[in-house]
Amino acid sequence: MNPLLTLACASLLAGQDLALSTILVDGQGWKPEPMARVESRLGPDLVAKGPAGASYAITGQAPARSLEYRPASGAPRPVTVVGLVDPSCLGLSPDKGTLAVGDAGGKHLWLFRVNADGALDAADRCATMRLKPGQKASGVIAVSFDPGGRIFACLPHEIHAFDPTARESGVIAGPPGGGVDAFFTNGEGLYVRQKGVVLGRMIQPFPKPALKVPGAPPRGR
Amino acid sequence: MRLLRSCCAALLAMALGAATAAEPYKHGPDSERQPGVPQGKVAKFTHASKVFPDTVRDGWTYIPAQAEPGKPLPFMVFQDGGGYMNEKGDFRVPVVLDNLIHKKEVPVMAAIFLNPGSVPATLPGAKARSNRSFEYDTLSDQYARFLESEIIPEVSKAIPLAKNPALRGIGGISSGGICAFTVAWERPDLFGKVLSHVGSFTNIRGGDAYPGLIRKTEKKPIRVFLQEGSNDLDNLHGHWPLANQQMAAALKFMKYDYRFEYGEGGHNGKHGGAILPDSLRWLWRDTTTP
Repeated sequence: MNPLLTLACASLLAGQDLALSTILVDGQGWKPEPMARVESRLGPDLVAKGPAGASYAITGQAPARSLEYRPASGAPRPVTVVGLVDPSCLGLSPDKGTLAVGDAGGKHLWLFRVNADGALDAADRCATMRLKPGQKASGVIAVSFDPGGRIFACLPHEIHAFDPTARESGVIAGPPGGGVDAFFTNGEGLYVRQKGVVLGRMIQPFPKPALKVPGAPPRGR
Repeated sequence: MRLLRSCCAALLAMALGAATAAEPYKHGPDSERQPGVPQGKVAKFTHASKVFPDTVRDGWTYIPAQAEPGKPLPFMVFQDGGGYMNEKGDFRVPVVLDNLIHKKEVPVMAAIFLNPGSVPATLPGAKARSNRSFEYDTLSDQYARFLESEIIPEVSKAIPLAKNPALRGIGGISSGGICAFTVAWERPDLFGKVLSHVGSFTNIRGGDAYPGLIRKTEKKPIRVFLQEGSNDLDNLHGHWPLANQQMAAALKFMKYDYRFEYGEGGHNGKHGGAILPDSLRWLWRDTTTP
C-alpha cells in the first residue's frame, strides 16, 4: 500500500469537526452498569489534584459555593472570578494544564490555566452550555475531560459535549426522568448515577484509533 | 487490498477535486508588487492581554509610505492577522494597500494585523490553550473592549489613529469574519466598516442568531462587505453558504449599505484574496479624510 495514500486517508478522516455523530454510537442508549470500579469513579467532582502537591476544591453550599486552591504548603485560598456565580464541579484536562469549573448558577464552563506550581490563572468563560430560553442557571453537577480532551458537562437531565477547543459539539440526552447526581467518562463510555442506580452509555473514542491497513508493512520498513 | 487502495485514491481525488475545481480565482495586478509604488513599513509586536486574561498574541502594524507625521490615519484591523499580512498569501494586504493608496483609490491608511490569543502552558507537558474560537465566535463586546482598551492605545503610541468610526474598518476570515461583524455590531461607535471572508455566521457559539437580530434591531451605521462561496462548509455548526445568504438578506431587508459577493469557492481565502482590491475600494469609497 502506498504510504502516501495511507497518510492521506488518515488525515482526511481525522480532520473533522466533532459532531454528535462522532461521539454517539448508533443504537446505544442508557443501560444499567454493574461495574463496581466505574461506580467508585462517579462524583461528586468536588476535588481535583494538581501539580506540585496542590489541589482544587469546591466548598460551601449552593447557591454560593466557592472554588478553593489548596497549595501543598500554606493555607487554602479562595479563587474569586467575577462572573462565576456558583462553582459546582471541576475537572482536570488529560495533560493537567487546564482546570474546568462548572457554574451551576450561570451557563458557562470556566477554564483556568494550571501553572507548574499549581496556581490557577487565565480564567475565562470558554464554553457555554445551551440552556432553555429564560433559563439562567445551568445546575451543572459534573464536568469531565476524556483522554482525548473532549469536555463533558453533566446537568441533571442531559450532558453537554464540547470539543477540545471548547466549541459545543451538542447535547446528549440523559436517562429518562432526569435527577442525575453523578457523572464520569473514560472516553469510551458515559456513566451517570440516577436515584442510586449507575447507568452507562457507549461513546466513540477520540481520537479514533489509527486505521489498520490489511497487508501494509509494519512501521519502519 | 485493491478495493481499499481504490477507495483511498477516490477519497483523495474527491478532496483535491473539490479544492481545485471550484477555485478559478487568481490575483490581479493590484495584489502584486508594482514598480515605482512606494512600500509601507510592517513591524511586528507582541501583546499580553488583560481583557482576555493571560493570553499572548503576535501582531503587526502597517504604516503607508505616504503617512504624514502626526496626522491621524484611517485604519483596518485584520484578525488572523499573520495570514492577511503575508505578502505571498491569499490576501497580501500590505501589497494591496501600497498599490491602492498610490493610485489614490483608498485613503492613506494604516493596518493592524492580529493573531488570535493563546494561553501559554507553564506546566511541563501541557498544551497551550487556543483562545481563537472563544475570542472570535462569541457574541459579546469583549473583543471590541480588547481592541478599544488595549490594542488601539498600544498601536497609537507609534501611529496616530483616526477616531471617527467611519475611518475604521475591521476584517477577518471564517471565525475572524464573524468577529469583525460582532465588533462593529456591538460598537458601531468604534468601527464602521466590516470585511468578512467566508464568515462563520453559524452556530459555533450562537452566531446564527445574527440574521434575526439584524432584522429586528434599529439599523446601525455600519457598512458591510460579505464574501462567500457555494462550496463552503456544511457541518455540525451550520451551512456556511446559507448562513451568509441569510446575513445578506437580512442586511438588504434593513437597507444596510452592504455588498455580497457569492462565488464558488470553499472555506479558504482564494476568492476573497482575489477580490480584495475591489472589496477595499468599495468599503472605502467616498471616504474623505480631514
